Amino acid sequence: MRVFYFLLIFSALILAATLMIQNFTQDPTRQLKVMKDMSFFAMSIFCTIFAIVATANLIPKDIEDRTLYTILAKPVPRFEYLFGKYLGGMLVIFVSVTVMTILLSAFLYLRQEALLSDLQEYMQVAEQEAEQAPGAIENEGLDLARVEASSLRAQGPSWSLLAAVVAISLQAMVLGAITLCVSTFASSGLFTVVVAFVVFFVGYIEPVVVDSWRSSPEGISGFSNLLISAVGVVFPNFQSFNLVDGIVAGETLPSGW
Amino acid sequence: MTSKRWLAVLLLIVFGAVRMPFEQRIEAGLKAAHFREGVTVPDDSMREQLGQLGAAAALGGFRSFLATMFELQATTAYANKDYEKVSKHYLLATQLHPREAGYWEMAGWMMGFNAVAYYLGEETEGKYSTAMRVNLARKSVDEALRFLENGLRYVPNDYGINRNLGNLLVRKKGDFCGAAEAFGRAADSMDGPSLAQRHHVYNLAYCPGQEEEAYSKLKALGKFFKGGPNPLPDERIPPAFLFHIRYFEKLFDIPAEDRFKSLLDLGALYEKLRRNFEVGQQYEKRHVLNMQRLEDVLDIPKSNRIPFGKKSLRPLQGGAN
Repeated sequence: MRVFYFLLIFSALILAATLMIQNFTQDPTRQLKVMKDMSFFAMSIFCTIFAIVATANLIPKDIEDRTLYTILAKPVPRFEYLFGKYLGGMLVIFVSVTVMTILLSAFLYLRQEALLSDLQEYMQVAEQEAEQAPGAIENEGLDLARVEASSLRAQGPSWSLLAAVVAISLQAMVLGAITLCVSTFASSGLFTVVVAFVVFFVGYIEPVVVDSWRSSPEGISGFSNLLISAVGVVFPNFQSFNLVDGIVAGETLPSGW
Repeated sequence: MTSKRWLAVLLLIVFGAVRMPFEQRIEAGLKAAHFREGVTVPDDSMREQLGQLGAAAALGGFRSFLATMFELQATTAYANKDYEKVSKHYLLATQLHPREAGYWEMAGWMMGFNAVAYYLGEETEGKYSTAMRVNLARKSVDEALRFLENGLRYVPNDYGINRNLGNLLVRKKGDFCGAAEAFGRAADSMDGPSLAQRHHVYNLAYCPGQEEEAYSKLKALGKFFKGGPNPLPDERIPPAFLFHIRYFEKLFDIPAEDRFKSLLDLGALYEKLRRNFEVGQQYEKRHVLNMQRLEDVLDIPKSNRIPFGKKSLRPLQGGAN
């Protein structure tokens, strides 16, 4: 499937990010952060677009090819047909995300190891200098290297990265389900795609806007509150899947997630 | 509408009503764990800078990525020595991702040291008047302070932010008390002894009203130097530590047997340092104070002391002290 070409682009992107960032910053922690930012950005974009565009075309394509009539003429319940289509789409996402996660972890691990070994060498030299220099038993370089080493270890591959990947995948699953649902009654594929993107953006933006309103000094009137609740009932809160920003910054995932 | 469609709408509402409390619980958990810091509706000025697409991306879960892009732009602006843009891009990066300590730390360093060196250096000579250059440098320092102090609101225990704040306060503001506090926090964020700990004590030694605390911390530092299985030989005792502790021993009239034991010759150190000091040159306030303290400790007569005046201080050295 052509979609897997994206994985090649993804690998090229991480590699490019790794090489490019070395020209911008000498800070090892920032180098790993940029790698993660770019990879998660590519992963999110891929999953979101794929979940919407690929799922939106599943049923229209079956109708166009007349495969749908052949399938439904047999004793296959509609639910099973839809569920099978949905699982097929999600499987592609699952496989792609797994490959991307393996690639990201491998690149991260290799870069982290290279940076840590550079840092170890630097620390040995700094320790020797501190020992030889009169009046100095610690030095700034040593302090910085110690802090850097601990943040470098925190920025490498970890379980929390996996949590971010799971969140991105779950978001794609919800989005795929919504798109498939819309495509069952939509008159065109374009309509399905547009509706799915609108649901996605409303689901992302609505919680932030509501928070902002609630914290404003004017507060929210009773009617607005009702309206907000109605929107909340219809549109899923996609912010709940937004873990990447926090995880890249090194936050610890709450136990309830 | 047919009854099936009504059923679909009803199902959507029921499912939504069941789903909402779960989502609210997740949101509350994520907020408590700082996952939502910086997730706000962008204000007019931020929207203008981000553009409509950028604002949508910021709300759509790509804040970290956008912040990285702005940091890269800030780095490019730094290479072009356009510090106005450096500040603008770091402002956006920090607003988008306020829990990422590195942005605050770098913004503080860029504006507090690199921009100041540029404005007061040879490159701007002739381009702006001296008063304007000093004014621009002062504004940069204030901006750097704002970055670092705002950063501490989000990541109060970060080593890098506190270290940069300490350096900025002592080197560009002459504020020893503020610097001592910042270095203290930096030292607390590290395991074991650190240079930040020493900076904390040395700055505290110049903080009015903190003399007793400074002396007690110097004594603890002395125990660290001389105690343990591998006590340091005299030649490796930091001279700054020695003249500070000698100053307080004199100030508090500590009996000879209770004083810190060291054969290090502070007189020789003074002579060596004095040879490097030139009348008419400008120095940082901490260096001037160090020399004066050394002169106090060595009882150098007033007539033989280095004649420091107001003009001996570099620009931006007038602080809280």
